[in-house]
Amino acid sequence: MHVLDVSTLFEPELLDRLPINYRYMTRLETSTFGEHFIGQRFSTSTAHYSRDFITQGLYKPVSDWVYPDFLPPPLAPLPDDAPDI
Amino acid sequence: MILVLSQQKFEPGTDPVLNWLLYNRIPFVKVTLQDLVDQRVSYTVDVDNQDVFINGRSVRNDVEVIWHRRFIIDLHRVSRQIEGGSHPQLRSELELEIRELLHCLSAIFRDKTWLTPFDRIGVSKLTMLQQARAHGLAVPRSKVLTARADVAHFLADTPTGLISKPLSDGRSYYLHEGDTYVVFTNLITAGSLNELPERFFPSLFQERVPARYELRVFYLDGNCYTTAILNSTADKNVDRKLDSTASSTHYVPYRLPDSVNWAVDAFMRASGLNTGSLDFIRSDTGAYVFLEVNPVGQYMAESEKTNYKLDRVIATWLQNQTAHACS
Repeated sequence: MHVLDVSTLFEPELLDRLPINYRYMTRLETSTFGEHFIGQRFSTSTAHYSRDFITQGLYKPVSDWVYPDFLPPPLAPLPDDAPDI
Repeated sequence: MILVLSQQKFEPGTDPVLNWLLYNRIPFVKVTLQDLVDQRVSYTVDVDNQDVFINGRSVRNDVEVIWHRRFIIDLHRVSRQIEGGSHPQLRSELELEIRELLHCLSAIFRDKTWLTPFDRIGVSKLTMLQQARAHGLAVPRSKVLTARADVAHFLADTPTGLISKPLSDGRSYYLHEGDTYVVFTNLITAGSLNELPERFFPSLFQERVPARYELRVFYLDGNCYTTAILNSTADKNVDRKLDSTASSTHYVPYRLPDSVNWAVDAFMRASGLNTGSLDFIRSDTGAYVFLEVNPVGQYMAESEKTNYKLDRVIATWLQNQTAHACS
């Protein structure tokens, strides 16, 4: 994500009537701003009833069809006095 | 059958779950707001008999489980497409009509198992803070202020400083072939205080919680899947989203203490939420400070990086609910 600066879209007269957050908008290069920044590609899928199907890019270079089968169940909580990570 | 209510486009939390439903041959149908209004399919809502007919066939009994993900979020886009900019008043009227239809449909399917009940999709950030505090979770001091003098007073009274963020959801302006403007969480300093007008629109201010690291908790029906977001640099941003792609940011599985797990569970149940994504800060003092919960938050980024495979977890949960409905 490429941050250009912190600025605003709005004129000073309007800003005076808006919540203050609109004064500090982060301006980004649009092509670098993805939903939670996971690589995506787009296609359509009748099976998913979707006209714009998002495919997640694999984070690790291993087969998606293999490693989910070896995942353990969610980790049990540690006691309160467990060492910090 | 599972009824999936979601967005037509670009919803990265829905499609990966549908992959698993397809792989496991679990019957489902995805319906979007667009489907209800664009006249591609004719259907009848029988108000008298509380049923819905598609092509003359009742579907009320076919549906066992409803996964209510980002559905209503398309309301403005759908109404804008219909209205086409011809009359601003028309858009708000169409939205009222659609909302009334949705309330009727939700009542017809009220006895089904909902993953996020119909009326819990848009919870109030401030109400959730109160609810979390009532269930034993630490929360930052928060005030909605309208005057610069009051901000100055709050800042002086808060040694760690203040942040400000929208009262409701975040917002973005995507400018075609241009830049994108996003409202993130902002640090309020003495310098920015001087830029504020004397009076302004009601805005949320919160105590800044100095963070060792941040936590993202995906909650599903009593289970917490927690990710720690570690950042090894000293100059990290006040809003962690700005550091998401930094090489210094690392996502690792994390075990919450039992006491926090139990408090999260009690809080979610009391809030009427059976799923959601919660943000926490592990503070410099070791406290787990709750920031907010999004009932339909995104989870795939953390899921991929921690191998939680939450898409599969959700699909299995939905599948199990249909099994319960059949038994």
